Amino acid sequence: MKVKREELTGLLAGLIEQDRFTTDRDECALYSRDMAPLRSIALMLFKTMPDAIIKPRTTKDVLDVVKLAGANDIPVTPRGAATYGFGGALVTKGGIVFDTRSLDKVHGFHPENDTVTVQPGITWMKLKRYLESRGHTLMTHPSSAPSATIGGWIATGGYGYGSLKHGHLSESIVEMEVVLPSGQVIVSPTEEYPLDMFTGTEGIFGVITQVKLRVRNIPDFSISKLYSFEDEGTLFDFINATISLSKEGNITDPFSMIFSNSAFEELKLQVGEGHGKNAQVLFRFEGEREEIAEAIQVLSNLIEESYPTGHEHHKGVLEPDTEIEKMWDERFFPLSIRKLGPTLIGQDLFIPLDKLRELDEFLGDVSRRKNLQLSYEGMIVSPTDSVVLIMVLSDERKQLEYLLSMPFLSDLGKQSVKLGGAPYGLGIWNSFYLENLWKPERSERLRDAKARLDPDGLMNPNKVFGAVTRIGIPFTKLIFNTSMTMLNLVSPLKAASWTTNVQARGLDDIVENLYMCARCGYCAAVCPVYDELKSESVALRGEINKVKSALESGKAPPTGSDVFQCTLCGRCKEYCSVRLDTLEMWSAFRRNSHNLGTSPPVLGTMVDMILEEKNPMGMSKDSRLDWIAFRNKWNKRLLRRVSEDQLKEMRYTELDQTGMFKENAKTVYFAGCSASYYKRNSGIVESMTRILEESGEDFTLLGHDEWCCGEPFFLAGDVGDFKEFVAHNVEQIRNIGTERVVFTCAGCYNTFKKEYPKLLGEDLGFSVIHSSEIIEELIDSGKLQLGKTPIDLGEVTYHDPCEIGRHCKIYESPRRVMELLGLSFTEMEDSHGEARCCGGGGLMKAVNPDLEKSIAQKRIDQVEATGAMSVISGCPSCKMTMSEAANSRGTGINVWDIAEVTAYSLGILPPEIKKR
Amino acid sequence: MRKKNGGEEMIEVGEYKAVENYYYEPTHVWMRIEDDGTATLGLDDFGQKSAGNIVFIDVPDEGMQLGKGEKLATIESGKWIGALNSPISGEIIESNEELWDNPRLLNNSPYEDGWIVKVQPDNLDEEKADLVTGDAISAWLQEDIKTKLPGDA
Repeated sequence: MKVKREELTGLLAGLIEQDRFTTDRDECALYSRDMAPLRSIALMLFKTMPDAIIKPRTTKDVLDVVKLAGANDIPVTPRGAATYGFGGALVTKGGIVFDTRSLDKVHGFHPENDTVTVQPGITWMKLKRYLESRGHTLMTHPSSAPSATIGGWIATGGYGYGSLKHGHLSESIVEMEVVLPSGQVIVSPTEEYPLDMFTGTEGIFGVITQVKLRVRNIPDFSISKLYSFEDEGTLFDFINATISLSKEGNITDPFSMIFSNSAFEELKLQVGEGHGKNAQVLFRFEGEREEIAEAIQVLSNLIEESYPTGHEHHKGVLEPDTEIEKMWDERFFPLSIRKLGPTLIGQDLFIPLDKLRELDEFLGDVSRRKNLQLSYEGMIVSPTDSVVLIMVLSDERKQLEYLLSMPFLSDLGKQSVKLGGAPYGLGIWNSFYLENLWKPERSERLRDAKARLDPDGLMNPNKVFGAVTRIGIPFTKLIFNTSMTMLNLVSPLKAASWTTNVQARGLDDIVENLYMCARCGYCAAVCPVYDELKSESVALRGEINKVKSALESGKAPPTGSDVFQCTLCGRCKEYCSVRLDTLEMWSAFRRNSHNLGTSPPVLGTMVDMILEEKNPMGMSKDSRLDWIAFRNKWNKRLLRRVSEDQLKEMRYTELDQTGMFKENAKTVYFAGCSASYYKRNSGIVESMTRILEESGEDFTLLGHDEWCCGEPFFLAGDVGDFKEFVAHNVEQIRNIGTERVVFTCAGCYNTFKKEYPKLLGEDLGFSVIHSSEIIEELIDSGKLQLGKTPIDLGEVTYHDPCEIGRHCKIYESPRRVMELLGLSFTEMEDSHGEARCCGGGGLMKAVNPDLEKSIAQKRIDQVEATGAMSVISGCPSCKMTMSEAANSRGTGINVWDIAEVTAYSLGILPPEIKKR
Repeated sequence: MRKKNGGEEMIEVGEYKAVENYYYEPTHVWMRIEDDGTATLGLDDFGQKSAGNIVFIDVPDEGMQLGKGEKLATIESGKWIGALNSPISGEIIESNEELWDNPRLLNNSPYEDGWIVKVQPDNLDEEKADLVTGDAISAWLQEDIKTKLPGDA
């Protein structure tokens, strides 16, 4: 590299936008590793620390930087989500990393010829969801689809779900745009630039900037079937028999076949997943219903014929359908067994189908000799081959145990070759297997091409064709094994730092979790904050890596705004491949920050206001019931806009607070601060009150005895003050002798439901119910009579608030209420567990209002895409955040609460339609 | 710095503007005395800028009796609620109903279209004595700029 780091910053600043690159050392450090736990070895052998990270938006961004790199002798490493464990995306000589995840746009969908043109950084999962909402789907997708990028999978494996039916990924590529090391933009395939120059070559020939893929219509029919066997040998006989039938055309090709040994299934059972503890194979069929039905019949006959009753021990079992579809949906999460590790060492191998039995015998032998618990899961990727992921649980903090299990990885590589297979990819760690993985013709041709197209070796150096270490010695198997032994001798015991680091005391409960993280990056791929900032350090994977590095070196873990730049939307929890409680991890980071006194100052102000006035707005506690007088004034104004005919249909009377407060009642309505104090939210508290009155429910509000639920304390990591507010509210409610408490606020509801019992260490003594649930119940029981004055809201859609949706799984009640009210409803592209956060959660409104706004805009984009003019939700905070976003762009979109639309529909409240 | 704005003499302190012959009270409500002896009240430029994008105002009703230093209205912006106080006592004779639908007038036209109420004062001469006006405005604003960061008003 001819330029120094500081000069590089200047050069980049003159070339691309400021937010498109960083030379920050902490951020760069996060790019010095990939998914494999081989960091210390890589560090010893290579310069793994990049000098700059580029987050390009366009082909031009890539082109400009590649030219700059070429002119200044700077190495360039393209990178996707880094879910490939062989070191393909590892930096080896410093320089520039392209984090291609920022190239995430769909450039064109062409249903007429079944193709889609995309940038390479979009994930397979996002593209799949995009296509499926438009009646199409992918031909194939990788097992790490939630985070793996289009370009990443093209550059690495290319075998995955669907390969058995639709072939290797390269068969789905129509064409690709690539920026070559010379700074030329080309389109492959041509004679000079064939597709195989860029597929499976780990980015050594250039940076892929656009891909046109073949796609297909969503199949008419799809089904999953599970067959389990009492031993692996029988399993593989069955698999091979099935493949023969499929090759001979006796059955339709399965879309996918995933198998696992009994050791893997036993581990799955230990983490509460999977289906039984036998060796098994999961079939996925997609296509014509009749063909599939025939195939399933043939498979059933095969099992009956080959393993007739009487040979119970070897009998294959067609497992019942319940839960099987769910297993297919869970296919992206094989890593959940890491919880038992916390480290999981894995190796992917190509194994010919007829050698699977031998592989199993070899592994059984190693297990016995080395006393390792080996488990595996595999996929049939073609009529002749499978890819098998072999896993061994370990603990990277116990260096000795960990490193002793590592040489086993190279044994596996050797064994795969003996069986006529190879490791599934080269990278750095497997580069000595090139001749086993590629045909000699391809090796020779591409080696020549590399010398011609990248004479200085700047494009992803040290990959595929062998590596040279930082001291100039070629990287060989011997070097690999020697360095592991050396590390074994010289490495300090990382675990020791944990026990002495007092600045991390608050994290004691989650230490294990930090090491369980698989670095798969699923969390980043679905994180709304990452989506805005495209910075590796903001999503949970980055945060965990930062915390681990700090703690292992005895430093204070990141605190302050670092751990508050999160809406706690919990989408990462839904996607975590290890099934970690990611929300609990963020909460622990925040508690630690609070205890160290390093939280953002604005939170201190907020805490003081709540302590003083019992609400986070800092409004006088005496004004908690001001909403009643305000609503009467406000409604008078709204009534002036209602036509005379409409007025006749309405049964509006002024709010009378005498009926709202009782000493004893069956139901308490906990109105919450947000709807009580923000006048623009007061329609929510009025609506719920009127609905309860209208249904003749025996209810009361808490009035001035209601305090903030305490969630802001919880979110700020302030457990002490939270306890005081929990105790107060619970005592007030218990005094009323109530059976249940109703909430219109998703935050209050979630806090009462999840955090109150945890903190109290006992049952609340009353149940909690969200407004949408009680409205549904009141309508169903006939207490709330519908069909009086339905108002026309036009087409509506629904926003799932994170705190009742993902956190408490209330998805159907609000949708059912809308259906009962007769509203015309369209679902957004992301809904239910996939719903995007409105941006306002987790104190984001207070800590980073700009970020909150940009996240909210994305949600409003999704509302607009449905064509609906109204979006309904079940949380006053979501309502505020989305209203502001909708208004600031002048979209004319109305944002309602589910209680409000119910009250309007019943004719007990004048509707509040926006003046356009 | 002084500038002419229509017929009014404007004072500029940093990015904040104020009309020189208006009267100001601590929550940044301005008062203009009309020729007929009534008073018009609104939120000054510092107040609206500190609040940020105002998304709601609880406009007080006509006929309501105001007390000096007592609540005139609440405004909401982002996650913030602010209370505005009345600089004088008197009866509201007109409210700016347009603000219900278009609270952004408070931001976009603080001294003209964004006015809040017109008041028939009870005791104007005595009550205006402790309000800030004329030459005192600059120093008062500078003090508030020092102590109140935007968003903190």
